[in-house]
Amino acid sequence: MDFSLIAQQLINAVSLGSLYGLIAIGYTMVYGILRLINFAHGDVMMMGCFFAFYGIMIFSMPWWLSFPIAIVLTAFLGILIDRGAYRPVRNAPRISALITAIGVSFFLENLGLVVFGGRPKGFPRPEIFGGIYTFGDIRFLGLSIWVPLIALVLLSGILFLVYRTRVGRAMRCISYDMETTRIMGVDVNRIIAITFAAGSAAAAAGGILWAMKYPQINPLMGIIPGLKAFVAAVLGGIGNVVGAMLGGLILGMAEILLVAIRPDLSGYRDAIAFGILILILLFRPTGLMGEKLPE
Amino acid sequence: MEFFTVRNLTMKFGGLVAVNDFDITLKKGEIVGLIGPNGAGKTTVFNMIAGYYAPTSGTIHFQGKLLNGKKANEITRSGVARTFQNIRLFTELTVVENVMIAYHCRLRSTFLGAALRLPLYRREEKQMYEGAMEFLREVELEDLSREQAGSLPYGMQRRLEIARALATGPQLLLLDEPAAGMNPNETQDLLQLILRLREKYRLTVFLIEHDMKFVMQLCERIQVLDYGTTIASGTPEEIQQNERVIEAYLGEG
Repeated sequence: MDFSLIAQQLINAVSLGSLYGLIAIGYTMVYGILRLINFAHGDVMMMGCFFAFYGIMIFSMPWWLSFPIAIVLTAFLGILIDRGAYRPVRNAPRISALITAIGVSFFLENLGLVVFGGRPKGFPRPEIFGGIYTFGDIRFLGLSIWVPLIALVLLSGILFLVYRTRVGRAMRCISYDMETTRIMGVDVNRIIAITFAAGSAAAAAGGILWAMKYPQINPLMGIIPGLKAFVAAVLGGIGNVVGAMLGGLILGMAEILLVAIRPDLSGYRDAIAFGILILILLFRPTGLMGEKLPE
Repeated sequence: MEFFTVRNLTMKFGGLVAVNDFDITLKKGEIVGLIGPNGAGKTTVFNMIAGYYAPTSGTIHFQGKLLNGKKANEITRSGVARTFQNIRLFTELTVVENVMIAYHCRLRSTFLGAALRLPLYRREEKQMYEGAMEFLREVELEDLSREQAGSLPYGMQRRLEIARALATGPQLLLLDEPAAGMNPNETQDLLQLILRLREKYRLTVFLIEHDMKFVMQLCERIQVLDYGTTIASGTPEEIQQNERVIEAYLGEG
């Protein structure tokens, strides 16, 4: 393999990996604070894509207006899901919340099928992201550079939120002991709502980038990226934001590497994620950057 | 208007009556003790006042407002703070962060404000830090503000819990066994601390404690619970001579 091929694959891997990472952030934030695997997260991402799609196709918005609006709408959808589905089972056993999450996931997918229709739709790719750049032998889509950049910016924003703001301090306290945080006078439900909003916004951003990379959207498109992002979150250590991004990058690398080295095995690409999941659960269940299990 | 009144407070867990028809009235500025053998229901009373449990029946009024039915964070905001019998600090956060989290409920700026009106947010953040340090000074922990809360020795963790409770800006402070695990010197310091804080912050203190010497020295009035029922109430002298109290304690073991 020569240098340009390696560079080429590296760009692809980082770009794919940051997408997984962006979606994984939402999983990890919600888990960190509520100990809930939000299985609807991939479907939230799908909704974000459709919001962006309809913003452009029906309301004829330019992409730079439609995408941010879609992200904001998805953040509100996250809050709505928490309010309508998860808050009522907040004090119920975790397994009830988990099943609720699966229910929300099915609900969104089927709502999508009814409202948007099952036929895949072509997602527009604005020119700025669609250009093809050439450096010597390396050719790549402009998007492949934009994705890691946007991921980095959003990751920094979320790290700032969690570690440098008052809301973030409350999030960390809730993840440690929700009842005591409440007794400290913190409106816990508000903080959880903000967590859902931030996680869903990151998922929408990830989803829109995903839709530009693989420019077809349908109501079931969130399932596979959602599951892989979940694997990325577990790999990085669920509950840890940086870990989620790291897990995403490793997963992206692994997939691209497999396809690059053994193209004949590329059909097994999706199996990599779940292979990694099994290995992690067997040998390091808390993930790469995960904290020790609480007693 | 009464400062703090509890009437006919009852808590049942299934068939078990943990607290039965509990009544108490606190006047502003008092220090009142709640004692009784293990399992008498003392902490359950605190948990109901702080909004951790919803009482089966009865009412809790604080400054004319009904507290039961409100959420724990609303009760804290209305001016009731507590510490825990088994210390519940955020052990992985620093000492000063533990106090800052309790300061949240005094601030005005919202999440959006944090993003948009930076000057107010920054000013509040600074005020929050300085306020938190002030409370740490009060309990003589300011030099340890950057340490991890979980790394402090036991007695200091108890003092940190008090600082954290103070930071919510309470008028009524509930202390659940504040002297537990302290040596006699620490207990004496704690006694002085509570008296000093009451003066400075015009607090009313309601406390659970097993250390009888501490309770008798500190409290102006004492109420005794046994099997969820009040068996006596009065001044420390009256309680020490009350036969039912002596029986409840000796009978226990």
